[in-house]
Amino acid sequence: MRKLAVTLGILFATWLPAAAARAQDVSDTSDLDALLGETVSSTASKSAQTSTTVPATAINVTAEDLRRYGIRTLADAYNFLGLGIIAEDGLGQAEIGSRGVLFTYDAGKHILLLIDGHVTNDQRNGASFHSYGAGIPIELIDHIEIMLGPGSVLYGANATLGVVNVVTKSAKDYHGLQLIAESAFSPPENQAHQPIAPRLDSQYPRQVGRGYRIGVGLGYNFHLGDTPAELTGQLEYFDFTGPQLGWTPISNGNFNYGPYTPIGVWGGNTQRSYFQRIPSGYLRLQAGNWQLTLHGVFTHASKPYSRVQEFLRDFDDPHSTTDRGYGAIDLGWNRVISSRTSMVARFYGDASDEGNRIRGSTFLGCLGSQPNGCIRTSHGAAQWFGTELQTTVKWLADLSMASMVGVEARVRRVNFESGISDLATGLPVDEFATYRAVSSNGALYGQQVYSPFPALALNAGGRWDWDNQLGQRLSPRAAATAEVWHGGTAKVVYSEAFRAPTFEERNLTNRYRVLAAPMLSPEIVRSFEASFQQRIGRQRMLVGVFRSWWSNVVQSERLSQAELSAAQRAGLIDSSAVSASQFRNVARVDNYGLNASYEGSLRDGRLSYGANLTATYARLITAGRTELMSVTPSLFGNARVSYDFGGARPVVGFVSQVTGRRLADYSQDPGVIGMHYAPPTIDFRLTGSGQIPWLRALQYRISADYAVTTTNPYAASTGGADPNKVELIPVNRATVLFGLQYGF
Amino acid sequence: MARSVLLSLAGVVLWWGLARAESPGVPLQLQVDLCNKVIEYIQQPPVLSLDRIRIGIVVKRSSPESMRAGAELKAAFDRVGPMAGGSPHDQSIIEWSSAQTLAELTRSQRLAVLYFTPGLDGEIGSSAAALVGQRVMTIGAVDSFVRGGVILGFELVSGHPKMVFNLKQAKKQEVVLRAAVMKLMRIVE
Repeated sequence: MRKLAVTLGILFATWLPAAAARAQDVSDTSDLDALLGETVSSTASKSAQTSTTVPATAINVTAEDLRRYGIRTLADAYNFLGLGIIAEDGLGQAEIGSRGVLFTYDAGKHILLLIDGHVTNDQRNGASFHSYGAGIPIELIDHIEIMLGPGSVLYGANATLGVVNVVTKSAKDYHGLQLIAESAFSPPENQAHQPIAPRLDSQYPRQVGRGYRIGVGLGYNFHLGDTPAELTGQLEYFDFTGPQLGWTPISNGNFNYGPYTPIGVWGGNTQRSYFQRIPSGYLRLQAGNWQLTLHGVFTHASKPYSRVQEFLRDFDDPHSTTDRGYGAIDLGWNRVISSRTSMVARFYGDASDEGNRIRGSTFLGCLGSQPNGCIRTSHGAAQWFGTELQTTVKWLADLSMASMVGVEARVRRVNFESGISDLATGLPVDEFATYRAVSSNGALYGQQVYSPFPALALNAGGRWDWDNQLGQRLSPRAAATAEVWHGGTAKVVYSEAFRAPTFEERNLTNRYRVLAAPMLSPEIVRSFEASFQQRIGRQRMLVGVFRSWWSNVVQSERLSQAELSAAQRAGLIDSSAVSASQFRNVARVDNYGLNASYEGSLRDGRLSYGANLTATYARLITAGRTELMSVTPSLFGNARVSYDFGGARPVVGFVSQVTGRRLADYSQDPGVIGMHYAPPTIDFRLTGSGQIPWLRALQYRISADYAVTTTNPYAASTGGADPNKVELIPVNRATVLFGLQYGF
Repeated sequence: MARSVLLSLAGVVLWWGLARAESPGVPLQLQVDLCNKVIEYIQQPPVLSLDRIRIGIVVKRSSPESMRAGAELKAAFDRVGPMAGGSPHDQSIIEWSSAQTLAELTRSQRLAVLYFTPGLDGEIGSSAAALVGQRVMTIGAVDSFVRGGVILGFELVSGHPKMVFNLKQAKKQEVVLRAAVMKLMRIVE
C-alpha cells in the first residue's frame, strides 16, 4: 500500500502543474466550471455546504449518474460510483463496508441510512437496507450524499462507518405523472458458476432469472392559498425470481436436506428459493415551512442457502422466508425567525415488523423430539416516535460564525421472540427468547462553525447521547478546511462515533444456545483523516488518508466450558446444551488507508468520466488473536465513462467495479483449515439511455452487466460437523435490463 | 375551552408555517462566488469598465427569510476581493417599497447588479417590468425568480449548482453575456 501511496503522490504532483497550465491556456471559463462542478451536501453539518468545506470526506452521487450508469439500488451506487464504500451481495440483503471495515452479519447496523434526513435504521436491531428492500424508488432520487467516517456528532448511534442521506427530487425535477416499467433477465449458471447459453427447450425459460419493476410516480406543484406547495412520490412493485444456480454436491452422511436433493447430499441446482417480492412507496408533501413524508415498504424474500451461523435450511427450500414491513412518517417544520436565527423541528414515527421462517429436515437446531426436522421461527417488531428541535444562530457582523444547537428525544417499543414449530403441521412446539421493552433516549448536540477569513473554515461540535438502558456517550468532532491555493483545499478531521448495542444483542436468549448480554457496552470508533482536493475547471482530484481505531466491538463468542456450566447451573442455558454463545465487547479494529478520486468532463460535459480507489489495512484484534477483516477487500475501486451523443441520440455509460480478493466469512472460524478467499471481482455494466425520438415523453434504459468472478465471500452451510464442508456462494453473473418511463 | 385554545394555537402555528418564502437551493456563499465569476463575462452593460461595480441587494423588511438572505449576501460580497480581475465593488441593502422606486434607485445610484432575496416572490414581475430598458443585471437568490423576470438565477440539480438565464428579460434590459458562459446556462425564454 505504501507503493500505491507513493505512486499516487507522484501522479498527483505531475498532474497538478500540467493541469493548471492547461487551464490558463485554453479554458477561459475554467474557474466557473470549477464552481459549477462543486457538490452541495447537507449531511455532514446539517446545513447546505459545498463538498470542499464540509467537515468530512463526502461525495454526491447524482440522479444523472444513476441514469447514465444504469444504477438500480443504493448498493449499486456505492459499488459503481462510490468512494470508500462497498456493498457485498449475499444473494439478498447487501452488507455495507467502508474503507476496509465490514462487520459481516451486521445487517447494515454500522452505517446510518437517512432518506430526506429521516433515519431509517431499525431501532430493534439497528439494521439498514441498501438493496431493493430499502424501498426507495430510484427515479425519485435526486442525489445520494455519502459521508465517510464517524458521524455521531450530529446523528447519534449507528453512524460508525458513515452516513448515507438519500435526497429525493422536488416536483420541479420530477414533474407530472410518470409510469415506469422495467424488466431484467439473468442466465442460469451451472455448478462451475458459468452462465448457461440459451437453449431452445422448455426447461431453459424456467431456469432464467427474471425480474420486473412497475411504478407510478408523481410530481405536482400547486398552491395552498398563497402558499406554494408540492407533492412528489412514487409507488412501485418489484418482483424478482433469481436464476437457477448450480452448487457443487457435498456428501454428508445420511443428512436429509429436504425434498429437492438426495438424502446425504447437499447441492445440485436451486431454482425455487431465490426470490424477492417488494411493494414500496414514498410520498413527500411540502407546503410553506412544513414537510410531510410517508414511506412504506414490505419485503417477502428468500435466499437459496443458509450462512454458517444461521440455522440450516433445506436445500432450495422456497418456504424458508423473510417477511419485513416498515413504515415511517415524518413531519418537519423550519422557519427563519430573524436575520440571524433559524429553527427546525421534526416529529416522526416509525414501525417495523419482521418474521423469519427456516425449514430444516435435519435434527440440527431442533428439539430432541424432532429428529426429522423442524421450522425455526423468529419475529421482531419495533415502534419508535421522536422529536427533534434545532436552532442556528449566526454571529458577528460578517456572519462568519454560526452556532447550531439541537435536542432530540425518542421513545422506543421493542418486542421479539423465537420458537420452533412442527415441520409437518407448522404449529408452534416451543417458544423462547420472548422480550418486550419500552425505552427512551435523548440527545443534545451542538456545532460551532467559524470562518476567520474566507480561505479557512473551522468546525467543532459534539453530541451527548443518553439512553435509559445504555447510559451516556459523548461524540465530538473537530474539522478544519483551508483553501491552500487557487482551487486547492486541504482538510483535516477528527471525529468519533458509537454504535449502541441493539436490543437483540443485549437481550436475545435461547436456552439451547444463546445467553443474554445485558452488560454490553457501545462500540466506539475514533478517526482522524486528512485530505486534499484540487479543482481545475471541470477536473477534480481528491487524495486522502485516514486512520481509525475501533474498540468494544461486539462479537458473538462461544462460552468457555466453565461459563457454560455456570450458565446451566443458573438455569439460563438448558442442561442438554453442549455449547452456547453470547454477544460480548471483545474486539478492536485497527484500520488505516487512503482514498483517491478523480472525475471530470470534456466536450461541454458530454464526455464525463471518473474513478475512485481505496486501499486499506484493517485487522480485527481479539484477546490474543489478530484476524483479517473478512468479506471486504483491502483494495477496491471503480471507474466510469459516459458520452452524451446529444439530441435524441442516447447517452452511453460504461462503469466497472474492481475489488481485490476477499476473505471468506467462515475462513477464520475454529477448525477451518487454511485461508479461503473469494476471487477478485471485475464487474462491468454498459448502459444506454435516452428518449424515444418520435415520442419524447418516453424514456428508455437498456443495460447489460457481467461479473468476471465466480463466487461471493459468503459460505453456504451444509450443517455437517466439518467446518470445511462448505461452499462459497455463486455470483449472479450476468443481467440484461430493459426499462421504460413515460411522463405525462 | 382547552380544545379551542389548542385548535387556535395549531392554527397559528400552521399559518406561521405556511407563510414562508421559497428558500435558496444553492448556498448563498456559492451564489456569490458564481456571481463574481459571471460578472467577468458581462459584455453589456460594460460592467468591467466601471470605476466601481455597485450591487444592490433587494430585501423585504416584512420577510425574515429576505432579511437573513440579504445580510448573508452582503457579508459574502464584503468578503470578495476586487471583482472581475480588479474592479472594486460595493454592495448595499435596498429595502423594497415599490417597483417604480426600485427602478429609480437603480438609475440614480448607477447600480450594475440587483440581487433579489427570497420573500420577494410577489414583487418580481412588477420589478422586471419596471426595469425594462434599464441596463442592469438582475439576479435571483431563488431560481424560480428567473421565470418571473429575473435575468440570472442559480438552481440546485442533483446537488450541483446550475445557472438559469432568462434570455427574453436579458434582451429587454439589454444585458449581453459572452457566448462562452451562455453555454454553461440553462436558457429560459
